[in-house]
Amino acid sequence: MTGKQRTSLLQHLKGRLAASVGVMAAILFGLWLKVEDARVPKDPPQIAPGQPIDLGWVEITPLSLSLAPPEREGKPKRLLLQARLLNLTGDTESSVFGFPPHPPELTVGGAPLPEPDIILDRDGEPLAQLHPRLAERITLVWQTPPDWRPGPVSLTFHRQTFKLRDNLYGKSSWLLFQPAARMSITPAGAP
Amino acid sequence: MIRPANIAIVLVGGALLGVMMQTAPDYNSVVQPFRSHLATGETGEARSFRARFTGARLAERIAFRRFGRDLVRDTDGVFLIAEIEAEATVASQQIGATWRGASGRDYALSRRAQGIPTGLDSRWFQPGLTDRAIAVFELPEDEIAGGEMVLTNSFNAVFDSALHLAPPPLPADKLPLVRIDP
Repeated sequence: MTGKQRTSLLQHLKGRLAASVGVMAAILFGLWLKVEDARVPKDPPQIAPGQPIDLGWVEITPLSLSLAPPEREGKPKRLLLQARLLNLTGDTESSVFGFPPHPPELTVGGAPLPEPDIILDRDGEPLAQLHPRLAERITLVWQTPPDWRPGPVSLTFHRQTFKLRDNLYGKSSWLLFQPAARMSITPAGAP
Repeated sequence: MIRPANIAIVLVGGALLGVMMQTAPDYNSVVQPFRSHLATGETGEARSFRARFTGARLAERIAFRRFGRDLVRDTDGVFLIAEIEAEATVASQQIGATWRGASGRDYALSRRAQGIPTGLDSRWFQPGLTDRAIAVFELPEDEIAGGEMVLTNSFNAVFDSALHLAPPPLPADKLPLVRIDP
């Protein structure tokens, strides 16, 4: 092998090596960004009443939270969240907060309350379905725990992810829930 | 040495695959009912029933009696009260209806009008007996003109027939209150 041939081979290898290292570095950097993105828990933004939130199926605009007297004697007091709900899908939906249902989560003293009743204000009856492009006023009703003292509460709204073509059949699917927004508020009517 | 012919084969293959990927229908558009579109007043023939869209009224509010209670329902949109004439051809069955609006959105029967007299949601159609029923939809006003009623066999009409019925001439004005009596 002559000297000239060796130099050209070395140069050839150097070029390929540099390219390989570059590609590897790009792949590793991309991977690290993804890991970092998943590792750091993202705190959902704090919102104020009147701000709309996209929950995937619907857009909810919380309007006010109030403390109401019990329905009947001997029952606990109730927390009422007035909200405006708009269906964002192309069909009439009966599961407005996704499936399985993830209605807004109300936390008092660090413990979430059981799921609320969803009342359609127009009829004063449970909300059975929501039609696209017809926004409705609703009330979410929670029963407070018996030992609860009125004070600030925290509300968490969950968004369900929509995928137009899933990896198995290429069909559209609703997948994971993620917190989309948080609201800290003192109910009106609390002493 | 790579011959130009080989490069050409790879390129053509890649292009063909790309065309196939772009034009292959997705799951949602394949798994659908078999539709037949019918003009105003025509009787549609589905696999297990035949039906006709006979009349339509528009109302701002509807009133009806359910379980001994008088109810009045109002809406931000408009109530479309569709009259249907149908008969089963194979066995006793129920018929489902949706309204495909002008924008392509699907509106289900209004559950706020569930239990109305002669309502489609509680009607059973018998073979050989033509029967009438009404379907109440709650819609934004601009979804009515250019929309159509879709009648299907049951809850899930995938790979079964669906009749897309054009509406009869619609009234120009909506009525302030329509009372639905037996």
